[in-house]
This record gives sequence, C-alpha cells and structure tokens, in this order.
Amino acid sequence: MAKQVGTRELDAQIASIGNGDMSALAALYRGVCSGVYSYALSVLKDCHDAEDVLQDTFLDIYKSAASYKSIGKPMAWVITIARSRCMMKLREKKRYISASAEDFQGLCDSSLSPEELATIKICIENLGEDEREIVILHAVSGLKHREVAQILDMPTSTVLSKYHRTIKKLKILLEGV
Amino acid sequence: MAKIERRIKSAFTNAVPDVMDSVLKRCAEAKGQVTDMTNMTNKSQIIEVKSRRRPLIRIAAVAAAILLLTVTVTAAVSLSGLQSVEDAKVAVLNHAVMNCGDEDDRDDLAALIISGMDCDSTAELAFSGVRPVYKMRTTVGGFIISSTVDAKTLVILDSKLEYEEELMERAIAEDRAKPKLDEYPEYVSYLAGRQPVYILRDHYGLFDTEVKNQPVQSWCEYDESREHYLAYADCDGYRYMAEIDIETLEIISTTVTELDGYVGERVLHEKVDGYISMVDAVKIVGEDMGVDLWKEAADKSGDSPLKSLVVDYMEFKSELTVNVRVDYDQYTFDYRLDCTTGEVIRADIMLELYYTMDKCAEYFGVTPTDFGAYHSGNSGEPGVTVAGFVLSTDGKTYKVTFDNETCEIISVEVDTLSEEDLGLRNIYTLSTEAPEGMISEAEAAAIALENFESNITKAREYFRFTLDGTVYRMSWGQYTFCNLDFPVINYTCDVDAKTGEILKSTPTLKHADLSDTSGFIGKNKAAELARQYDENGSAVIEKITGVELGEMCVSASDSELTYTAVYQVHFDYKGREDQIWFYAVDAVTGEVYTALGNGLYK
Repeated sequence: MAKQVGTRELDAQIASIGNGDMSALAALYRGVCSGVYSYALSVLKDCHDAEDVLQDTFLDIYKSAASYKSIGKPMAWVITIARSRCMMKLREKKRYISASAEDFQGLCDSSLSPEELATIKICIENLGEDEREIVILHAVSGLKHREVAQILDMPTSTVLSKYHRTIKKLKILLEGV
Repeated sequence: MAKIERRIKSAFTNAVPDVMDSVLKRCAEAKGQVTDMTNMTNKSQIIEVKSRRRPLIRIAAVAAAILLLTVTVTAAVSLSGLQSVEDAKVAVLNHAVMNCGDEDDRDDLAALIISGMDCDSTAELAFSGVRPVYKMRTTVGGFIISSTVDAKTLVILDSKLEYEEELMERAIAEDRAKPKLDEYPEYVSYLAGRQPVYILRDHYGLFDTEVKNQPVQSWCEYDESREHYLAYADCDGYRYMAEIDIETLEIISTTVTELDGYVGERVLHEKVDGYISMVDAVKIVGEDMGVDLWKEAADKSGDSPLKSLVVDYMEFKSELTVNVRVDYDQYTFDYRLDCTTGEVIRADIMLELYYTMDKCAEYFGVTPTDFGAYHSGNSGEPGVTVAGFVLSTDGKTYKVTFDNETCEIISVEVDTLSEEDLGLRNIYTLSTEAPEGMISEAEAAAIALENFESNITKAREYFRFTLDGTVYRMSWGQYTFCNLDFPVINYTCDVDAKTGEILKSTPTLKHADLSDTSGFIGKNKAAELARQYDENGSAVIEKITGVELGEMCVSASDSELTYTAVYQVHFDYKGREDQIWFYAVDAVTGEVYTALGNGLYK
C-alpha cells in the first residue's frame, strides 16, 4: 500500500495539494500513510484512535498545504501535524490507553501475520514512550535522526543513542518470535 | 537498513488500515465539493518546483565549515611537505559526510558535527609504498572514522564509518558539560554566518581534496542594506564572491576576480620558477641546523629528538618569505627565509618552552595543575633568561629561570598566591574593553567568581581546590557565559553583558578528588570516629574489618554538590552476618554520615 517517496516528490505533492489537486493528496497518502499511522499507533497505543489521527492529519494537510513552505523536510512537517493531532487526542481522552489484546485483534483482521502482530505488540508494550517514538519515526516514518530530535525536542546525540539502545533491546525481545 | 528495522517497518506498514477513500472524501467535503474517486488516477501529478540544494551537501559544507573554524588559513604544513593533521581531519570528515556508510549515518554524523559535538582525531604517519600517508582515527560522538589519507594531497585512500554505542554514551556525558548552542541564538547566528562561505566554496568546487583548490582565506560579511550575506574565498590567485540570501541560503549572484600580483599557494606544493617551495625551505633549514630533518621525520622509533616542525608562509603577495619553526631536543629553532633566494633572513635559537615547564616541575617534584612559560626580552639572544613555572595542587607557584644558551638554572622561586589571585590569574588576561554600554569579559568573570565564592561555601569546606577560570564570550548582544573549571567543580554562570546581572548559575560537582590526600584525616582516624559514632548511637559494630577511601553522593542545601571524598569504614554487623556494612566518614571534616548497608550478600 505504502511506498517510500523522495523529499522532492513529497514537496511537489504538497504544493499540488495546496492548489487543490486531489490526485496529489491521494499520492501523498499512499506515500506517507504508514509513517503517520505507525507513529500515531505508537503514541496512542490504540488502533482506532490511530486511524482517526491518520484521517485528521490528512484533513489538516489538505487545509494547510497552501501555506506550506518547503524547507526540505516535508515528512517532518507531516509528522508534526500528526503529533499535534495525537496530543489533541490524548488531551481529549485525558488518559493514556494501554494496548489490549482486543485492539490487536482488530489489527489482526487487517491480514497481519502472527509474527507481525507480535512485533507490534512487543514494540508497544515493552518500549518506553520516547523509545517507541524514536524508533517508529526513524525506522517506519523515515525521518532522519536530527529531524526526530527536532520534533521531540531532544539533542540529536540523545536520539541517536536511544535509538541504537532500543534497537538492541528489540533484537533481544524479538528473538524467537 | 538492518533486519530488525525492516521487520518493524514491515509489521507497522502492513497494519495500516485502508482509509484513503474516506480521507479523500472528507477533504473534498471540506473543500465544499465531492470528487468522484473512481476517476482518480494512481499516478501523482508532479509539478516542477524550484531546484533546491541537497540538504546533505549543505550539511557537509557546514560540517567542514565548523571544523575549519579552528584551522589556520595560512596553510601550515608539517615536515616533508606533508599536510597538517588538522587539515587531514577536515578532509576525512568532509569525505565521511559525503561518502561513507549509508545516507542515514552520514546525515547523523553531519548533524552531530553541526550540534557542536567534539571531534577528536589521532593520526599516525606511515608509508604506503613511497607515498606518505596518515592512518587516522577520528571520532565524533559515537561515530568512528578509520581512514588512510595521502599525507601530501589529502586524498582519502580508504575510509570506514562505524558506530559505537559506548563511545556515544561517553560523548553525551562529556557534551552535557558544554554550553548548548540552542541556548545561545547569537552564537548559532555566528555559525550560520560561516555557512555562506562553505556554500560558496561548494558552489565553485573549492572543497576538493586537491590541495591547490583549498582556499587560503575565506570569510563572510553581512550586507545590511540588502540583508544578504557576502561570502568570499581567496583561492589559487582568484577571489570568489557570492551574494547569498540570508533566509533561504540560495546564491543570488557570484563574481570571480583575479588577485593582482598573486604568486599563490602553488609555491607551497610544486616548484615554481624563481621561488623555493616549502620542501626546499625545510631542506635549507635542516642544512643550517646540521640535521637531516627528512630522515628525522621519517623515524618512527620515537627516538628522534625532532618534536615538531611547522612551515608557514608569510605573505606571498608581497613579502615572499617563509617561516620554519623546528622544535628539536630542548630547543626551538625559528627561521625566516627569503622565498626567492632561499637565503636565511633570521635564525633564532631558544629554549623550548615546554622543556622549561617540565624541568621546573621536575626540579621541585610537584604535580602541576597548570603550566606557563615565557622568554624574557628578545628571545634567541645568548644569555637571555627563559622562565618556566607551574601551579601545583598545593596552591603554590613554582618558577625556574634558565640561561637560554647554556640551559643552566639561574634562579628558582616559590610563591604562595591567594586563591583569589589564582582565580583571577586567567581573568586578568581577558579583555577589559567592551562596546559602549556593556561590561567587559574581565568584569563578567569577576562577577561570576564573586557569585561562586558567596554561594558555594560547602565546596570550600570539603575540598581544597585552586581557582582556575576561563571565560567564554558567547555574544555581546545577550550575555557573557563564564565557565569556571576547578579541579573538583565545574561552575557555569551567565552574566548579562549590559547590566552585569547574574542570569543563571550552575555549579556541578565533579567526582571527588581522591588524588591528593594530604588534607585527609587518614584511615585510622576515620575508623576511630566511626567507632565513637557507633558507640554513641546504634552500636552495631562488632569488628572493624577494613577502611577504604572512596566517594559518596551527598546533598547540600546551598548548592548542587553531589560527591564528596569519604572513608568507608567496613565492619561486621551485629545482626545478619551475610550483609556488607560500612560507615561513611567525610575524609576532610571527619563527619560521620551514617551507617550504610547495601544489602548485598557476601
């Protein structure tokens, strides 16, 4: 469903969306939906909320694309919108929701293999907030470490260090799954 | 991307629900019209956008820019026409940011450099066939760049980029003690001011590793009237200039002009008719000294008395002289040669300053905390004295003066300075001048020191530190940042450059200084105090089994002190036999803190 697209292409798509081009919105969706959804899922730990955020994020993108000024970081811009939406969702519910087996059953319906389901569960249940966000933003959303650092307001060195530590941790946790 | 990352990415990507139609419908509704989804093409419409410079290229330029801030533009090279290690370091970093590892690694490396992370480099001179090469290990944060560099041309022969987590952790810990650039917008602005220079150099390909294409001088000016940067680089007889937009950093216009009467740095690296090269200069100096400097430089056994050799040219546009400085044995040879004839214009011989400092410490048998040395009068003249002095951990200064010609000790001197004197020693060297309406560096440092003295009495009680301050002027526009680095405490203080008001002060205690135990109460006294304390209190000691010197975390109400030197008095506990217990006794004051049981089983 999703494919990785280059920075320039994303910039062009956002510019087109700003001109009201719905096909560009569709293309942008295909390119970045997994990054947005994964990030939302990692923050909210709820697949339904993550889906809401995914939709709301694209609505926001559509509304604000005309004022988008390219600084060479379109994905960071998209994730910043998604992050804002996640924070709103958390405030709305005034609680952090722990992932439950039922939530992931919902994911399972979307043709996830048992191994994929286990991978997601481990990421969500065993990693800290920071760790989850850093790994998802880099490994799934495709942001650079320095972009992650900017979004999470952390030093780049800290993000780098946490990322590598978390990947090591995941290696151990996912062994044998 | 590693297997584990691919797995995570695949799992999350496959979990994404297909809500595209719903998204598009909502967007269309928001716009006030409904779009027929079935006619939607899958192919995105690409519109042309103005081409931008690739971020990575720019990052590489900035990375090297920051490093080059410390590199002299007078093209100092080491013996045998070799490039300096500093220049090699810049070439290695530049190459790594552009070529090594995957793109993520390169981007991270550049980001760390931009963030101001320290960069350390070690180099070993070796030979690949007849070609002299530097075997270099360069570290930035957790990244290690292992490379082989042609020592003459700085061409990177091979280079490998690796990442080490432990190294990163250490770098982060060290980095925490440094001022954070984000907190100093003016300083960041200064760095941004360097960026245009490297955009210019990048634009003209002046960043090549070919030596002759390295600009000998580059700088940036700010054109207030047009709000543009004007970046300049003098390279190989030409002055390159670029007008750069301050916000987008895009080049608006460029010019290249020829420098009149410019001989150029070609003289450094190749034989130009009518001029001696730097290599020739070294040969001439070696002959004058009666030493084969080439051979000495190639000696890797460590036996050679040659410590360093630096060649730099003065001003090729007019004066046409070359300076050669050789540190050889305990002497420094300082030559100036005519670039056209090779004639020796000046030849000074003087005692090498580090030698005098080492000799001073050796003479008195003290452990220095700081060094200093100077030549009195006109250095190089026979009989003129040279002085070396050291500050010691005992708070005294030791000074030895030598005869410059015979190396004989003329006099020795011991002086006891007050802590205030010691503390202000460096501060006196700071500028006492300041722009109108602002305080000077020296005043800012004095204010910071006074604040330190009045606030951290607890530290003085515990430790016998000597004051040794350094002041960094971060920006005149905002405030002055003082960093007073003491043996056991690091104290930072932000002083408003206009009012002198203390904006923020942060004392951070380092680990307790256990190297100098001269003021400590000793193990026996500690054991005695622990037993007294025990008898007056809980009486749990059955038998003292040992006393060790260590450190302990303490809290103090008037500062953020965290560690102090303590004697740990271990004892057998009247109770459970399988636990380790000890009293912590302050190593200086003898205060017994408490009985500590760590609950570990023997």
